[in-house]
Amino acid sequence: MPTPRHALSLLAVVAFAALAAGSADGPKNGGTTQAVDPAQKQVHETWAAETFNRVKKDGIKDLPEAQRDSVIMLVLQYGKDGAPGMAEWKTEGRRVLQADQARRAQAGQRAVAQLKKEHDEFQHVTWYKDRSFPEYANSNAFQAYIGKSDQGGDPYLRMLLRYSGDDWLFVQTFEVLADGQQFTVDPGGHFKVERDNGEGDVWEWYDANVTDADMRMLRAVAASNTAKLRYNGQQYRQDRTITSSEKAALRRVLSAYEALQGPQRVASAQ
Amino acid sequence: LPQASNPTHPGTTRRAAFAWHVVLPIAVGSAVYLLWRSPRLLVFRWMEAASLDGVLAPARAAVAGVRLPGWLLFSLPDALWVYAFVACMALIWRGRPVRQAAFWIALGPALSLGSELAQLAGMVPGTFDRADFWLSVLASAIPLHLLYLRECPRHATPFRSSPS
Repeated sequence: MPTPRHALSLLAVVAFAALAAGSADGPKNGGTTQAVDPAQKQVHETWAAETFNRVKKDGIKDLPEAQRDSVIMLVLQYGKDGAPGMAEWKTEGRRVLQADQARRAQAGQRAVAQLKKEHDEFQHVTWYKDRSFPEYANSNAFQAYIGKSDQGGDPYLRMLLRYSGDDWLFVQTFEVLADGQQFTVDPGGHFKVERDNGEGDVWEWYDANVTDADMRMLRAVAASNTAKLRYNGQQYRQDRTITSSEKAALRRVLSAYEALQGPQRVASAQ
Repeated sequence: LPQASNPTHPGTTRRAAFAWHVVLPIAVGSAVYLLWRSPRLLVFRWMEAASLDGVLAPARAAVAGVRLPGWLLFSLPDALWVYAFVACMALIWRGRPVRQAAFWIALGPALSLGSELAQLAGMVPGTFDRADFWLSVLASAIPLHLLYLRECPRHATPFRSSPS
């Protein structure tokens, strides 16, 4: 027969269930679950085995930072547990991965705190921009910024490439040269680049979501010693050097973007 | 001077035990989530809805330099949830026979440990984590012993069929 204790217990269960729900991932924009392709899994397992044989446990931390996470994740996920030394490799891999993530998370949280936060109540989006983000349209810009929907989901990265000068270029494409690595940003048509003028100045800009290829370009620029931007116009072109303050701003935004995405739990395959 | 009460002592009030064994673990676990975990979690949507994100952002920035080990970041909050759950049920059912209390007390550990084991068996998405599992076992056993078994009516335990 139900007693007040039963009612109290039920109430407690509901409260604890709500607490547990809070720790679940928030809604994602258009997230889908992908089935694992067996052929792809086999390829990954082969790569993982090769990596395990090539990289010794004590050498994990010495891998280049840009590759380290993906290498470790590959072995953690696809490395065969029965192999001698695999368990120790995975333990060390998880330790290095967690240390890397913690270090990046700290830098990222500091970067988030440094950004300007603007809420657009019409678009239901919060924008995170570097404090150096140009306030006026008639200036050159090479900037990235972050959007985060009020409805939740992952933050997304956008970039703004802008030319400003005395005369029109009618920019068609942008080219970036970062320490010798060359990238092309093709907006995909004359009208994808927006244009305006005033007070004797003209300005042309491309403002779009960052694709995977753009992300590689932004990371290369952020890490570069020297980076140049070329505006390829209809007839003429103009080059300029991406300034060190623009690169520093880019590093802050990329770091904040990673922090807003949050730390990924390290896989702990047994 | 009045002496501080021992929260695990049978004479301790239920309210004090509730504060120590339920509220405190939940508060610590929540603090780890809110200050260090991914802002993609649902709890952050709730904070935004409650307009508390403005308080949270500077707090997260302030502790950004504090590095937590992985087990503390990922496993401890879940274990504290299990601890608080078992403690809460143990306090509600303290002094009642096992046959009445078992279902409620076992519910939290069953869900937590069950989901870990289901992950190990590949029945649910996720990766089995040994630290999660053993911390949850510990988090179930401690409050069970401290708050329920020590005061469980002996005549009612299923381990004795008749009084000796």
